[in-house]
Amino acid sequence: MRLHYWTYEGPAHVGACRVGSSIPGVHTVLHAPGGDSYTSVLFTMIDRQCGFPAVTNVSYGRKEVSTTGIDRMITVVEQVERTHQPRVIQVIPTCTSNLLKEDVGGALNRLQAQCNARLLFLQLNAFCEKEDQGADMTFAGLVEALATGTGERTPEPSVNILGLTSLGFRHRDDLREITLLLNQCGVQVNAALPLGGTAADFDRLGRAWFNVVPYAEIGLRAAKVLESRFGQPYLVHAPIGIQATQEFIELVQSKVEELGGRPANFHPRPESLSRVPWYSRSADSHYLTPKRSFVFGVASHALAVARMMEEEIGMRPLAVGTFSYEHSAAFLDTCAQRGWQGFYSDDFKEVERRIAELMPDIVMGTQMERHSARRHDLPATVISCPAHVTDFPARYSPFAGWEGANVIFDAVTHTLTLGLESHLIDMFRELPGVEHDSVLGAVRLPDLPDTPSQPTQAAAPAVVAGTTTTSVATASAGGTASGVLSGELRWTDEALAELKKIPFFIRKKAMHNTEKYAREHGIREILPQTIHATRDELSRK
Amino acid sequence: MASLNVIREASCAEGFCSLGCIAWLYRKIRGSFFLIVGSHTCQYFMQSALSVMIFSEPRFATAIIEESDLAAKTADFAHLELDRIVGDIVREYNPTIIFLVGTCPAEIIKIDLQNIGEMLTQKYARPIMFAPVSGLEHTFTQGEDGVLQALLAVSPAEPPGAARELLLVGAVGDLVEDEILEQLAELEIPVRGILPARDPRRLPAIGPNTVAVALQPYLSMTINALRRRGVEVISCRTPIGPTATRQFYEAICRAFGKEPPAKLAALEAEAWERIGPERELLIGKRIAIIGDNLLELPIANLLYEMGAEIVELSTPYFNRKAMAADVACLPEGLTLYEKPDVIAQAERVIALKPDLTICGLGLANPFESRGLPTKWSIEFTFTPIHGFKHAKDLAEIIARPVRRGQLMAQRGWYVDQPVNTRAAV
Repeated sequence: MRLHYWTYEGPAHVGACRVGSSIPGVHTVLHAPGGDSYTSVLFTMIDRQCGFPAVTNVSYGRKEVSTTGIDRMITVVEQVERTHQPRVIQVIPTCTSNLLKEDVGGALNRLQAQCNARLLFLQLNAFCEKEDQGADMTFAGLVEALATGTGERTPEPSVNILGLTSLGFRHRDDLREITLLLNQCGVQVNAALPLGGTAADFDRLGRAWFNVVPYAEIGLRAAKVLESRFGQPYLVHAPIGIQATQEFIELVQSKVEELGGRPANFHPRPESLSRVPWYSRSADSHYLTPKRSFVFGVASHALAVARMMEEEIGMRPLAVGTFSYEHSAAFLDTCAQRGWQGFYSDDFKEVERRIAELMPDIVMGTQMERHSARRHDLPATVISCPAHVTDFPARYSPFAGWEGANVIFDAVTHTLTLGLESHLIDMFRELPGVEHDSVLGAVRLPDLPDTPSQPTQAAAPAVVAGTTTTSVATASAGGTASGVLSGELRWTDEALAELKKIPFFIRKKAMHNTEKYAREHGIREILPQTIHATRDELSRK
Repeated sequence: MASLNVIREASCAEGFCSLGCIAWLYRKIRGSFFLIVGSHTCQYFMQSALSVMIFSEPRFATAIIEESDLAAKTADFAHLELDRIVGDIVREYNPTIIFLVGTCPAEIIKIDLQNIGEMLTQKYARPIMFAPVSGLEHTFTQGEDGVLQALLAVSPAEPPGAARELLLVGAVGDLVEDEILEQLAELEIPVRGILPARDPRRLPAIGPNTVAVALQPYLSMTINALRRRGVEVISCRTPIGPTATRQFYEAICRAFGKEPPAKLAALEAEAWERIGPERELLIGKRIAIIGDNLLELPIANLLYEMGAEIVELSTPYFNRKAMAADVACLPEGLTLYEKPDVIAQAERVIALKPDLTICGLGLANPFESRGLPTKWSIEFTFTPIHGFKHAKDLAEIIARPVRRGQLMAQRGWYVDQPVNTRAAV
């Protein structure tokens, strides 16, 4: 057993539901107890889907577990067929059903003769597989069973876009952007699945010249099935960032040529299609140069965004991490080749520890890193699933392609500007008589209590709890010595006064570095000299 | 007694897992830690369905059963693993009480949490209690019933000759709790305590001189357990809305041999007056109540008292005995669906075109997209709604979507196709 407070990925059946609910005509029956029926909430609440989700829970109870669980499942499948008349019903077990030794597949085989819908049982193991892998395997299972066409190629070059799903990070808008890129290369989209297609589209998958898998986490297994069935080659390439988008366009065109198509000769100047090349070069962006980023997310997004940060925005990644276990080996290889400090972790607390150690200028991660960064007063922006309602904005907001690069550039620069603004608010708060109780109060510096005897404010524990300094308590409250306690370290009043001389926007960092220096040198009481020694040591590095 | 027509559909109801109760109980029971023994599915429910993201003070977590645990095949693997995990939790947080929360998978692989809890209680010198909250048998708020039973197992016995005192049963917000205690003090009702107590080290004593009253309608197992310990139980309405609240206090007064003071009627009248505007808005409105948190009957009663018409009523679980007082006030000839068939019900509701549909989170947007205003039933669980003062908050919650629905109806923007899942190039 392993203790978890929060995880980056959901269980495998959530991935299966993401695939199923992306495709009209596919209905998912979760073979699960009543308690698991929350899954559909994700689709209507986070993705704001209007329709009733095409997910039905079998909702068996204790009495049915040992005796009639299968009968109940069959009744539900029959009812779903009657009510929704889907082309496909996929039956997915959750963890509890994995533990029951039932012959669900056999029961469905017997039931198939009486059903118009195609019945599929996808055996996922909830005890090893997680959301992305569950989605990938489910999609491959659907392709395996349903892609039965002749495989006769379309007259003009065409591709299938594989692996975008509902609840995917910006997948809704990426689909449109990637379709646009393909059309610019003179390539038609034959089918897009799961997102963008219907159950009827499986039949025509074989007609495409080749397959495009934008994000390797979902779609790769399906592409391999199609390769072996129809001899269709596939491309795996995330077109995130200017260069990656250019490469995507080149890869697609050379693949078309390789397969006997006429070259479209589309070699665009990125400057004409995205503002990033100019904005990144403009004098306004000079301030980005010395800044460092921290990148964490699903493997495909973390790698692509890290590269964009380093080469196109000019904020070198201090570390690049992923929670995608299945792709972690290739991920770490790429990081090593690029000279990045790469890491794999599915523990958000470990990721937070790394952020706290490195103190980057910007954190690019999941919604959880956004929270972690806030605790350390660092600007952050979200570049990866897990899905959150704010990742489904009303506006067009892709991550892929030319427009995606614009979106990411804005996310970075706006986040940094806001970070600066929060410091300004902080600076003005230090003026006597000026009180700011804005939402930014949550990101205020936890460093210098102006009135040491004042009890800690309500917001302070949340801020302090996450920092490397486990607790900052005013020592004078105890009445023993002056100064401020930070974990096992004591800041003397003189050192605090010295710290206040440091410009506000690097004060937090100076404090962090000084404490690190003090710990490394066994110093328990921080004096002004400690701050100076820290600065000297850092300048020698 | 109203003639209530109950149809048990026992179908694929949509609702939250009973683990959801941890969301309010971990805050209510100070110094507690809820250790869910289950799967990734259980863990993910807690984080996603309840939008739990920030952990400034993590007081619940899931011990996830892994593949290697299933392969272990030794009888005491769960004991050893939980011993290690509980040890870590004790070192890190030093909780006063730990709940070992049972789940569907833990039940299926027959982890004996009762026994493990007893052994760990000895070792770590604090109550480590098994709370049966499996989603196989319970629905959403009923999880609290399981946790309260676990608390009851550590509540001390009443000393002989104890004074006859009132025990309030059910978790409500601190604000509501304080208001009820104040009101009871004014009525001069001696109060033993509340289950769950805010401080789990000071649980109320239980025995034949205890008179219990439920603040929530979904605690039938706890109430039965109290009866087995000789407790007298007052049967009355759940104190939600002005009239039910008055009747609740009156029932308590009578149980303690007091004539209910006229002041209660005055308080009721005042509460009705405060919610006048909302009442005016809801008079004659047709409302479907298909919630998932077992407050459906008390809410239906309140809406009926406000002059609305209940056109559809369902609940995930119906216990006629436990809800007798609430049932008695329902309008004549109403049909209650228990564990309704969600597909058929949605079609029925769409055809009925109610002015307001009170439903679970998953159904709200599909109804809204068809122009049907909705209210998430879960809000009744997370907002203080009990008692005289909070009747206004409750009325506002219910009236808000009706007001908004009127505004949006003027625009006529309804979308009944899931447009956002399709690419429009």
